[in-house]
Amino acid sequence: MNDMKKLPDAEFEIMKVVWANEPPITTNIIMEQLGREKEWKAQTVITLLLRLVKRGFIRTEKNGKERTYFPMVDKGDYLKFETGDFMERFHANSFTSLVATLYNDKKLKDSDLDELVKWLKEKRD
Amino acid sequence: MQLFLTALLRCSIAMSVISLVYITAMPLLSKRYSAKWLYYTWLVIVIGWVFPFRPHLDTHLFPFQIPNIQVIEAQYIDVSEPLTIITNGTGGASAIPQWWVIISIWIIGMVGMIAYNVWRHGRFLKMVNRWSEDITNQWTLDVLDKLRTEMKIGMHVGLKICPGITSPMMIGFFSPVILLPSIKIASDELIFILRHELVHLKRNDLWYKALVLLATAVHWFNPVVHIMAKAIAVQCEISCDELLLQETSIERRKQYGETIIGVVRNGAKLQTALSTDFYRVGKGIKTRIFYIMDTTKKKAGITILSVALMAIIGSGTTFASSPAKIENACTPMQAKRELISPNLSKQVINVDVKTLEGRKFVCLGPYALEGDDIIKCDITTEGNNGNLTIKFVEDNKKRDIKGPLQGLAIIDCRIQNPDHRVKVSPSPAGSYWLVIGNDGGVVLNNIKGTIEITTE
Repeated sequence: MNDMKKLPDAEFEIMKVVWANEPPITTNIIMEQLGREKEWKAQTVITLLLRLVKRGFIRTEKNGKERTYFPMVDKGDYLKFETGDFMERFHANSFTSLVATLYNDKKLKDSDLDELVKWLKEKRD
Repeated sequence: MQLFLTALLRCSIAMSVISLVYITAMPLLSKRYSAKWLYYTWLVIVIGWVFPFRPHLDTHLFPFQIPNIQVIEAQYIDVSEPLTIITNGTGGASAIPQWWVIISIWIIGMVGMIAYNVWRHGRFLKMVNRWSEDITNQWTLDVLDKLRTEMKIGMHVGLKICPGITSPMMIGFFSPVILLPSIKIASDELIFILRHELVHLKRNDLWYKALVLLATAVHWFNPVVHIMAKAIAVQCEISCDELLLQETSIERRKQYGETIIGVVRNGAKLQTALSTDFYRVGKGIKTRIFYIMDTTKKKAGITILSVALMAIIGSGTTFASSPAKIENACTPMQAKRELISPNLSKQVINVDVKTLEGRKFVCLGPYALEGDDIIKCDITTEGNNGNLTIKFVEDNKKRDIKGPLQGLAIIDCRIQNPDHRVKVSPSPAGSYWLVIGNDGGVVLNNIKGTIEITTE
């Protein structure tokens, strides 16, 4: 998957269900977990699944009557693709960002943190 | 608008000084005063940045009351004696500030900066909405509810897990949501983390941050405002920690410090996984851990806050009054012959001279002229047989003026018609003095009207 593209919202929702469940995934599983909430018809879900197959995000197998799907792209990899760059840029200039974080430092070395922990531990009374 | 621009620049300079002094004094102040007060002193300073106008105790100095282009006071000057001029403002008229260009650039920068931040935040929210999932773990939700009750926070607070973020955070101005990164968080750590974010919520830190952002947008051209924003972000966290750790044992402080280090460490790992970046030491976290472990009693900093407030209000007055008396003396001064006039760029010069005896003149300016400028005179006088002369004399030739007709002038005209137009000969652009003289032998009274410098 060299030319990964950002998924449209609807396909992304399907993909989240695919990732959250043990493969093989069936249309039924998706309908149960997503279709009702979104009020999607079975046909809509099948269309979206086929689009994902085309994109190479999932592959499909036919076992007798039922069609099953398997994820081809790892959630972590896709997350990294979609948010990694953005988060890096977001953090690079986060001082006046409109979120209240737990810490502001963007870059820290492990050894420095170890040193801090040591200093904390040694602090008595 | 020009006045506004001046006020803005004055504000920017004054607030830069105040902010830098405060930042420099911060390590010292932090030892004596509580972080909370230092944080709210910053708030006062931020408000000082955002609003460029100051209340003026002395109404004379209030910018709106200084007429823009008007001779405040003009006394006639004896021809035979040297002349002394005091101008309002520095002699910078030679470089005509194209104020509308400057204002356009300023507005573009400000709007651009706000738009960029709104866009960035919107993108971030979109990403969060796409990826985050509600936390359904009942125990976690109960912890949040308990803390909310304990801290007397009435509004509903959402709790979501969001892969892709490296630090827990709170978002949402109206319906706050706490986001946790998808890392394992121990239960005691979770309590600290939630409490920390709830303190941010309770103190309205998001609104504070929005105000800081506004200040950086208004003064985007000033690097000091960006330094300040950074300092405030640090102070925000330190004071949040302080509030959270009030009256707690050293042991709990240690745990809290370790929680923060743990989250930072995890976040760093997560970020390395998400992006190819190496990490360098963050000084902020060291300072913060140090303050977490600092249990010395701190004073309320009402003095610091008051001093900052006085400095901000005071800056308006001193800045308004200080340029008013810059001398531009070219010869020994004789107070009674002072001529006070505002130094302003081209436009309309109002002339209002009560009497001008024969062979006497007044000198106004300096004014900026350019090669293609047209001078329009529209002046009426009372009295017979006086000859009103108007001329512009180069800045450095001013000391040579001995009478209304002497001295090298680029414009030299006798006013006969009430409406007189003269085109400036292609002489070098620069700073010129307007000389209004009476070349006749009889007194001229009530010399009134306008001299307009235009490009039409």
